[in-house]
Amino acid sequence: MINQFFHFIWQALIRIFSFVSKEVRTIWHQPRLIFSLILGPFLILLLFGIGYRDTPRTLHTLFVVPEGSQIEGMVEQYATSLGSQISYAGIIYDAAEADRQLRAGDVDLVVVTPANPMASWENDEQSQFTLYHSEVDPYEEVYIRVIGQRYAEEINKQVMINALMSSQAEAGTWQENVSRAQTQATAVRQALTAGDIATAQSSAQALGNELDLLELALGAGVSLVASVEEAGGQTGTTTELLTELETLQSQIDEVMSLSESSGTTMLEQGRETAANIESSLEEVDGLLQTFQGLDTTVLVAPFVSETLNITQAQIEPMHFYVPGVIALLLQHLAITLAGLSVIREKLGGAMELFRAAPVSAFEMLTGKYISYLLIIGGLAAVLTALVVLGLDMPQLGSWWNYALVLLALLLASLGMGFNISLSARSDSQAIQYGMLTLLAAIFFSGFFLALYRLSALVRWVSWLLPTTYGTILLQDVMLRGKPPQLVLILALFAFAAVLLLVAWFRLGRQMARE
Amino acid sequence: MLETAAPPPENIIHTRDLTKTFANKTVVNNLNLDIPPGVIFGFIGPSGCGKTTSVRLLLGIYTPDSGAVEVLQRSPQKFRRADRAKIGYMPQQFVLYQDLSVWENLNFAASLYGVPLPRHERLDYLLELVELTGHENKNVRHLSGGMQRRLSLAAAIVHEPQLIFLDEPTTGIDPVLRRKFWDYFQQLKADGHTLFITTQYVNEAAHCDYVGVMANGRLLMVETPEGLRHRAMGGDIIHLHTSQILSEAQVAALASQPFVIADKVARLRDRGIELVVPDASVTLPQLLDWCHGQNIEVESASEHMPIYDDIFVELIRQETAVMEAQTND
Repeated sequence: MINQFFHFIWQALIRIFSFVSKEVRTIWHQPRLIFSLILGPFLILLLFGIGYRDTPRTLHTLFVVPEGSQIEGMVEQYATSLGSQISYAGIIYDAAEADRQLRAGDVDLVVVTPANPMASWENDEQSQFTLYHSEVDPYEEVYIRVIGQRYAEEINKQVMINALMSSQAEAGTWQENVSRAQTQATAVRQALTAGDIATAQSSAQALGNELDLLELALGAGVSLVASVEEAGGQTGTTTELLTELETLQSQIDEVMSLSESSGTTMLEQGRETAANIESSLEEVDGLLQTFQGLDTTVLVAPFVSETLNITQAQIEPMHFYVPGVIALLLQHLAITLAGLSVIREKLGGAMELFRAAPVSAFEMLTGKYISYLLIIGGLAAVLTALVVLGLDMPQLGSWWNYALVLLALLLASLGMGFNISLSARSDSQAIQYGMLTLLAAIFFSGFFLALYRLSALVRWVSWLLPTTYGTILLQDVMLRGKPPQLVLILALFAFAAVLLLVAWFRLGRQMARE
Repeated sequence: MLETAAPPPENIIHTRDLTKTFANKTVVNNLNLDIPPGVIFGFIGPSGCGKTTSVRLLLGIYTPDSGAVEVLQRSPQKFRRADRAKIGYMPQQFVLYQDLSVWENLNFAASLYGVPLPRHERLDYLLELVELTGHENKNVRHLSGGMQRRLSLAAAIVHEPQLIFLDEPTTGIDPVLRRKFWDYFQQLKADGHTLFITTQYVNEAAHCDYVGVMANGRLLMVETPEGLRHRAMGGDIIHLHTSQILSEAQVAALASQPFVIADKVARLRDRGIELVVPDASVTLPQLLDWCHGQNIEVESASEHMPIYDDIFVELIRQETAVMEAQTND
């Protein structure tokens, strides 16, 4: 009984390995095929790596400015300060000519500047730059929209900087006011010390006038800076300056409230107040000096961002695509080989021989699975070596995890291929199904478009494609150095098992009697 | 051996009223066969008459619509692996792999049937048998059609099957190679194998122990080659040539002789006379005696062996006549 069992197993192994040997030898006898299977994808990746430009597109831009506009100079100045995204093509007054040039493809972008921005601002309205383009690519359209926003932001920023710089220039004049105010404050203190209240109040009046003038002169400029500081959650120089001015006004009011009947104590307090005013004015003078030295760029754009990647490797754009390309390629290879496998046995007549022979669907399918795993596994190993060594592709994770992901990916892809082969009625139909799967993988696997861009319904299609799992898992292993996500790897193996069972059942039916 | 009530237990193939229909067309119609082991059974009929379908029914590739079939004392629908391992099959078309070498193809076929390792001697022997020694490493796509057929034959018998089905093994190959194939088949028979061979070459019937004639899905008869000829022509044929042309009266007198079957006498184009007799070996002396008694000088008198093409045409003609008669009834 035991001998019979071992004999049965031994015979089954002989039959399984007959298919393994047959399939491997069939491929082995086609060296050109092997060469193209390995080198083809590698060369495509290499070309991509060499040819990929990680620089934003430069838009050849023409500016339409109304003749005699106040902002003509500003437009040219700001156009060249935007960096490489905009290549300045000049300023033109004729909008129709600009439109012609855009339609003729002479320029990529036409920016029409506002006719009279000052008038808009006076009416509490924003002035508008209008950008014209002729792009059909939605991504390029988004790019141009972002460029437009950046351009407007840049101009807004420059306007703010200019305003602040003017305020800083005027701060020298304000300091003269402070100096006169200091003289008046000293006169107040001295008059009170002498008990001359009338003189003191006269000087205080003059002091108040100087401070009013100062406050008026500082006006919007300093208030603007102060509000920027407050928006940043800070109390800065300009805020202190304004507080000081308010304090001074109340102190002057105190001096003005004194009279001949005021007692000694009140006069003493008045003198102290006058001394405080002198001290405060010194602070104001100091603050004005500080204000003049403030960096306007920092004030206008107080925040900048810095992005840091916590992954261990420097990921180049090509490196990001490599896991997806490997997954896509292996899926397509497996589907093509398995997809043609059974249909060719059927069309070639070998299936009739198998039906008459003591071979089962399980033995045939197992043999084919093993052979294609060996063939494509070998190709994957060589391709991986080429991309890691030849393209400096990072491989941060464990090689065992990498192999585990490839195994799951290949099993699922082969299962899909065998089911295609069992459904097809001809070679060309099997190839057609394979190509459709490839197309689906390009669009829905996350290789080309991120999965979040797909609706939840369409994302179901993604999860029916081994490449989707393969890309995510290979990115985890290769680029993040993480082990494969348990849920995904188990799901992929489960998917492979279901496909295998379905293929086994269907092949069994096709090998059964008619 | 045909249409017996109960099959002898030793029969390797037995069918009763085996019928298979595809798309309302009956391809095999009430096939009755009993084939003993150790013989060459030739299954002869024109293309499309149902030979290949019959083979597939016997192999268990097709399920019959009605009737009974037993091969190796078991219904093909219930074949176990051990039963299938006793059967060799060479399909009509070449089904081996063009991208593999001669040796790799034969080795694959051997593995498919679980031939144990090492098997070099067996493969060498077969390649020698089919005269492919020296071509082991040649890619099959570079073989001639005849060499491919020989490789197919080797693949069909690689596991030393008890029963071998060969579906039109000699179709499309030259007469010299065809003759060699029949030599292989005789050798296989001598080694104890049973061969079931379909062919559309009627003359190949002469190489078989038994011949089944099939037309339009129906088995017309199963006979030995001799019996087939006898049955088609109604007896043995003798060609008589005389020095002078026989008169109508002499021909009528000859036709009335008891050793001639019911007026089966006809003139030949070359002045000779053809007569059908029950047994040529018995009749020839009687014929010579009768000629001598009639003062007819005989130049030659001998048994004539008609070619099997003629026999087949005659059988088909008779069958058509019977069918027409049945239709008219």
